[in-house]
Amino acid sequence: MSEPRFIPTVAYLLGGMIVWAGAFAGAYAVTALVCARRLGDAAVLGIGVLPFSVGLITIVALIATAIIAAVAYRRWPKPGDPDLPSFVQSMALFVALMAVLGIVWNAVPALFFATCA
Amino acid sequence: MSLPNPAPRPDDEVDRLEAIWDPPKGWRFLSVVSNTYIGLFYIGAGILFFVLAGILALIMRTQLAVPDNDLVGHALFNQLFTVHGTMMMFLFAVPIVEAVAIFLLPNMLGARDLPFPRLSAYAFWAYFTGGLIFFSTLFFGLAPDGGWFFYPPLTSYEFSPGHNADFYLLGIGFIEISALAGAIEIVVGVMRTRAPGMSLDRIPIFAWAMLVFAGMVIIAFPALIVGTMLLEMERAFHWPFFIADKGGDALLWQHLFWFFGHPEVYIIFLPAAGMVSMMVPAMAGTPLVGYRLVVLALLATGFFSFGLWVHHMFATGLPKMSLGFFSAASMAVAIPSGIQVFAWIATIAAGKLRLTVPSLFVLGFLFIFTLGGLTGVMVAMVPYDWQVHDTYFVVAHLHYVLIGGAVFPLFGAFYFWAPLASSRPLSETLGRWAFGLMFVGVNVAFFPMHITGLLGMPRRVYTYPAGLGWDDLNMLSTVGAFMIAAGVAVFLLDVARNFRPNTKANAGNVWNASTLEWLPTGTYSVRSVPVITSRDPIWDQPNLVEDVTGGHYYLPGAPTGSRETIVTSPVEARPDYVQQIPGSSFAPMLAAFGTAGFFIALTVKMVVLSLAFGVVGVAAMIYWAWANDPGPTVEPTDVGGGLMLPVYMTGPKSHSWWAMISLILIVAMIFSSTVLSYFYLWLVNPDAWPPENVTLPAIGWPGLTGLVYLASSGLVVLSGVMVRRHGDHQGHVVPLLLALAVLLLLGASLIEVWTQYQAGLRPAAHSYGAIVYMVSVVQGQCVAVVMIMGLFTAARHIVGKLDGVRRVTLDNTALFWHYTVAQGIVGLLLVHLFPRLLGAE
Repeated sequence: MSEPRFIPTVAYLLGGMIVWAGAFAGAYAVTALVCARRLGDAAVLGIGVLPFSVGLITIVALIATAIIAAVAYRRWPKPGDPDLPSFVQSMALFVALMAVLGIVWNAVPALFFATCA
Repeated sequence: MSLPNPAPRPDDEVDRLEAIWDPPKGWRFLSVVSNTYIGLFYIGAGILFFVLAGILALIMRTQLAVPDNDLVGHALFNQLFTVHGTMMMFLFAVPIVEAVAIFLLPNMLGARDLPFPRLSAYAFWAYFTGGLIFFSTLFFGLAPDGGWFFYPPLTSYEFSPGHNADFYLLGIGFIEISALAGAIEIVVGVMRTRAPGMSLDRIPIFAWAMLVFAGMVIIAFPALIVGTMLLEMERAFHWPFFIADKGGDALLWQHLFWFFGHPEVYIIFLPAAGMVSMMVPAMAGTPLVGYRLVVLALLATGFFSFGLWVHHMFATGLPKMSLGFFSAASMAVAIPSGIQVFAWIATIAAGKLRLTVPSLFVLGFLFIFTLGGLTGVMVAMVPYDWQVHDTYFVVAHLHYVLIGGAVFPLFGAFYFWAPLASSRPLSETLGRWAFGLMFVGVNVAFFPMHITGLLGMPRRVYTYPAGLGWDDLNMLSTVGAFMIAAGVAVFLLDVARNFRPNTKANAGNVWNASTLEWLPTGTYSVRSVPVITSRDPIWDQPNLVEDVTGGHYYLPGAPTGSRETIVTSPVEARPDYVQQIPGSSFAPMLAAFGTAGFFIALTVKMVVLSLAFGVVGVAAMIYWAWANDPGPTVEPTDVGGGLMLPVYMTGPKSHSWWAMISLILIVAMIFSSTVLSYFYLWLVNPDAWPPENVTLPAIGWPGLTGLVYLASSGLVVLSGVMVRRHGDHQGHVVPLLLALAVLLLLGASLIEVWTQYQAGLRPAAHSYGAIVYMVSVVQGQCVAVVMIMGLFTAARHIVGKLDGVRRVTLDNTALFWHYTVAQGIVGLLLVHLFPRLLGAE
């Protein structure tokens, strides 16, 4: 078995966190833009633009993370599997689950005070 | 498995290793570069700066011990708290964890040295010189006085006209260089120079922590670099990044600083946590419980810590929802920290903890850091933070987490790993006294500050009136501060009495710990490079110690006659090649003095002197780099068991390529921070982007500039093709191509500046002009570096040190070149297209 390719392995292992980072940056950037341009009262499909944007970003992020978690879960190590591949799979799943926590928790403010003021 | 070199080794093999690895004698000793010595110098310097900054704290606490005191006036007090904070954060906390890593990592990973020893030496000398100069500004009344986070407008030219502020901005430039150099070293070292078989799942937790540390430094420090560059340009040339009247915004500094500043504290904490993860299993005599969860915690903390920075800005009037995101993330980051704490508790429960001095410091850390973490979650609540912001409550919190989270593990680490560097371990008795005084002292000093803060005492005040209920609490804090000092003094006494530096006959594995740094070593580090099959090799692999010291594993000798280590693949740690490591040299020290002189002279506006130092520094670096890229000096060599390894590598498998990629990431972050600053300034200037009187240059100009950039890259590609195809048989065509490419690159960057100037844009008039020119300044720095690299590469070819096989210099130069061209083009798209997208003409 040859050495696994470095960038795909690392991207997979850290995938959940990379998604979290993108979601967090996206939510913060959209909020900053909307509030700096005083568009906080606008609505999209009947929902305030802030909760709408954050909600959309959160849903996309959760789907992406769920995919990574599902792949890692399916490849979850069985007894007797060699050490390194089982390490990579279990880490990918753990990281994805932690990312889910972060993504969900970070969306909570949009539920409670989605205002610019 | 069978040993690679089972037969007895020749008698003179160790002597030859020693001849190659032993440091020079006499005054030439100062030219050492190997990690053991540089690591020790670095640790010593870190402790020195800790003591100096601590003395400043004692002076402040004496001033604050009683109300209406007049020991120290307000001007000096401002300098004291600024220098105390800056030194502790920049000259002690980050450098010392890097220092411990430089000292420990190669041994812990089974390597003979770090991959770039002269870079570590440079980083050390730059840091040491810069740090001493920074501290000494106090004696000339030139110390910075704007607080360690240095907010404009107070620190800009109007309100801080003297040189003091420039000493801060240019002073921390050194530290940035040292920290980033160390980060590159650590990434490449941990990823590429591990013992064969030490796959990702077997790396010691301290090495994982340093890897996350290095990644965080690479992402976070550039924001600080950009912030300090912007503020210095504003101070020196009045480019108005932070001046509201001219389209700037003081909050831009805060964003840039805290995007660095919050990860900075985790940069400090994670290595300390890594040290604890090494000490606890050794002291409990059992492997770490939850290895994968601890790795998860390190990775998650590293990522989440980048989402917290605005919690330092809760009181600035930002939109509530934005504050909410950061409040949520600040709570979330407690989860991975908690995972580590539970892993340690579980390990202690699974084993039998010996109550040695390192254990005591670990227990002290758990108590103090947890308390600090709890107050951290309190201040993560926005309304609560509004109450305690800028009061002593925050001072209490930050000292609990920093002293608990970094200083205590560090002192434990000194006691734990001293036997590796000294022929005698430190004293258990003196260690207990040091611990006791420090533990009680920290609580006596800082616990009352929670109350003082809630009673309303603000930070940074040099005195306070009597009768507000603060008097006794301040006196108590002062007493505690002196207790801490007494504890540190006992530690220093212990070091003086017992620490006897010895790289050939250290005290040995006194704790019966399990990881590779505890193997017997000489100046050559390990006698042979072992094959690893476990996370706790000394416990799990029978006869490991005897087989390593008998030279029965890989590379027991020195096939190229120079210093070497084995470079392995990043995921599974399969041997890739033998790296020829550079030996002792004065060039890094000279380069460091040149760098230091350049920055210091620039600070006091002595431009000619500054340039002279700069030339010395660059010349030393060129001399240093000339010794790089030795080529394949011998044929692929048998390192043992028939394993033939080349002694030279170029391209993506080369350790130097990995260093270039790390450098590119750093530069890309600097550029990204500049781009984000551009967008931020646009956000705060909705009606003036660009301002009324500014016309954009015709679109043809950036088009031309982009083509010139691409042509420059094309010539470099052509050079590479010619070198690969024709080796050294094509005369001077390649150097000419490279020289032409250099001119095109320079030309492109100058055309852009010229077209903006011709269009009437001036940087000092409005923040729009300032940031547009700043994009060119950042690009210009890269262009200058590439020009030197290009001419250097051309020179290598002319003298025959570059050919079809020996081409690391060209390959690495080309990599950075293409990045610089791409960065230049992105910059053009930004400043020329974005305003047009908004409707400007």
